[in-house]
Amino acid sequence: MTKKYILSANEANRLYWLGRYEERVYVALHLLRKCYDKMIDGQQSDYYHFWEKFNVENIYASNEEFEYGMLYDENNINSIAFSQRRAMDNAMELRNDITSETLSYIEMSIAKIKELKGNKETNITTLQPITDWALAFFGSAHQRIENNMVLSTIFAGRIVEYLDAMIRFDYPIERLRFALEGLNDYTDKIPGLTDNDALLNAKALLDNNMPGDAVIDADTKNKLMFNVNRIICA
Amino acid sequence: MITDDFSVLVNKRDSVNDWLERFGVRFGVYKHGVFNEQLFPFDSIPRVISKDDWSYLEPGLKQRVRALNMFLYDIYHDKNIVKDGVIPEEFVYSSKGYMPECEGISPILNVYSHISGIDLVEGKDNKWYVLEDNLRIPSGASYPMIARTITRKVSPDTFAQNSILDNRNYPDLLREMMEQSSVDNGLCVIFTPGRYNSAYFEHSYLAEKTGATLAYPGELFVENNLVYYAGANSNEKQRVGCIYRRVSDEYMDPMAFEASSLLGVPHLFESYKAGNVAVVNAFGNGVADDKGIYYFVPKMVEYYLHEKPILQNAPTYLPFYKEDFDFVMSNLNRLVIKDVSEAGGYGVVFGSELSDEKLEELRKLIIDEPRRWIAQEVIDFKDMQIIENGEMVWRKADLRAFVVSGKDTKVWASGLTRFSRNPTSFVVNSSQGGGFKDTWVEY
Repeated sequence: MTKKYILSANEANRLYWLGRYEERVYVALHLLRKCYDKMIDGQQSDYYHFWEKFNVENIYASNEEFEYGMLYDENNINSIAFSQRRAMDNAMELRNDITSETLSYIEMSIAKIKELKGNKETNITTLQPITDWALAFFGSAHQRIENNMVLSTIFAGRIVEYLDAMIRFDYPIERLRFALEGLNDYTDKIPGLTDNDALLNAKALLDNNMPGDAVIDADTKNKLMFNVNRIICA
Repeated sequence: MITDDFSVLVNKRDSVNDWLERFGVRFGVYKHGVFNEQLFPFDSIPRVISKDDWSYLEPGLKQRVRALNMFLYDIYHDKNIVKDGVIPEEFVYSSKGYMPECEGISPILNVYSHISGIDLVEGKDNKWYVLEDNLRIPSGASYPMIARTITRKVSPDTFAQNSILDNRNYPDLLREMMEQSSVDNGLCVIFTPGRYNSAYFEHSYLAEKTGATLAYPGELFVENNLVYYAGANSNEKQRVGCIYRRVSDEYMDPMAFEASSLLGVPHLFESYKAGNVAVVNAFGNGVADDKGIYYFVPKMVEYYLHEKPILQNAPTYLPFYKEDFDFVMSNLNRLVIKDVSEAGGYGVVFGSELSDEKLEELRKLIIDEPRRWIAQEVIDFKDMQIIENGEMVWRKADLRAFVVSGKDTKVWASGLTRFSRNPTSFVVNSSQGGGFKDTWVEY
């Protein structure tokens, strides 16, 4: 059967956002684990710092509300449930691209979140399968997807999301530089979807901020966010 | 040999259902205007078709579909079957499925019904009866296919110990047919209306398994009378040779049919007419799966193939004919009455279930429009065992057999067995709450 050698606009968009949302689930769980750990010894309002990173207004009145809402509140665009649902919305329209086996990890996560939400379970260790399945999803994608454009668009989305989170949460420059180099491996395979100016700008901003363990100033941070989020035009 | 001990499969049904959920095997249903996705209830006790029965069904199904394809070609070309008085013209040209736009058009390979879904039941007299021919967009093959994939994993011994033909070759049959039909070796696409279609799982699963591209509305366009798949960048496009469409005729091209269609591909019909793209199934098939035309299928077999029909219809009466009309009027309270313009189990009423008042209303409708109705004897078809709430119970079930036609006509050695979950109902359609079983064919 004749192979398809192009991606449609809708398909590219879904692939990219699938990569982003699935990575968002993974990263948010990672950050929430850290945040919950701090809250054990801290003040009632410690979770505010978490909110600040997303530049959004706090909508919860207590640690308990925050814990539950960050996991299951589908009206909270930063919650695990919201991101997982958006990953699912994209993935289910991409079954033929990503394979049923790869899609199944997201299906399982959706079912698990529903179950945990029903039980009002906020102990974050119970969400460990979601983390495991996010990693399994990317592993399965890597192993099973034969179309390089499909694979590269998902993984480009994944790295952009990862970079976005690292910039927000003040990760060292060296980590950002390393991730950006990794992104290059994928953008090379989807030149039609890549904004090279944004990519070069992001690199230049990082190169101008030596040494590697420096914390980026607010202005550079804004510029980096702006460029990183424009590298893929899907 | 196939044993009748299904206890392992029964005991492992939860495991099978977990896997079905894991793979997102769902079915969309609109109820009161609201779309809901639900798992398609699977019953792990299979329908078993014996080697003997299959050796009867397989050639019968091939024969029937060959005749139906010849009928469609004839109706849109010479109309000999009408000229020779075998089928009254009222049944052809007043059919909702007849499309005058298709007159004189010869589809690629002269095949109209590439994928035919023939609905049968097995009577308590051990005879098979054809209930319906679905030649437009028959759906359902993906469900037994994925169920088999899962049950083989869950209970490998069951399959090692029984002689069951493998049904996981359905995508191969489809792929071969699409490749044979594809014009200029272009891309083969499955054209879906999108995720809110009731059979969306099937569209995406078949695309995955055949290697075809899943195309959504807006992704296909026509340029210089050729169909293309549109890339993300405006200069990217790829020629399309075959469209396995899961969209009804009237919505396929707003320039040729329903002008308000947002799903369709403008000017597609012109490209198809010019032979620049294959459309699977072809346009205009509705005339042959009209419930009124069904009555004439055995006659088509004799007319076109000069063979005795192997498969038989359920005993059917056409009120259009005086003699049948009189019979139907006298026996209305015990027949099944079907509105030929309805599908999906709708428009089917059992005379025995109607009040006197409703029977009179129906009688008037038949008198007003005899062409619109057919009447059938109630086939006392075999019940099948299913597990409902942990109990083994008996329910009505039918079989949808799939026949794929490209250069050759091939019957898929399996089928979708649908069952009613309602103990008093004969209606097995999934849109009305029915479930499904795998269909095993013995070798």
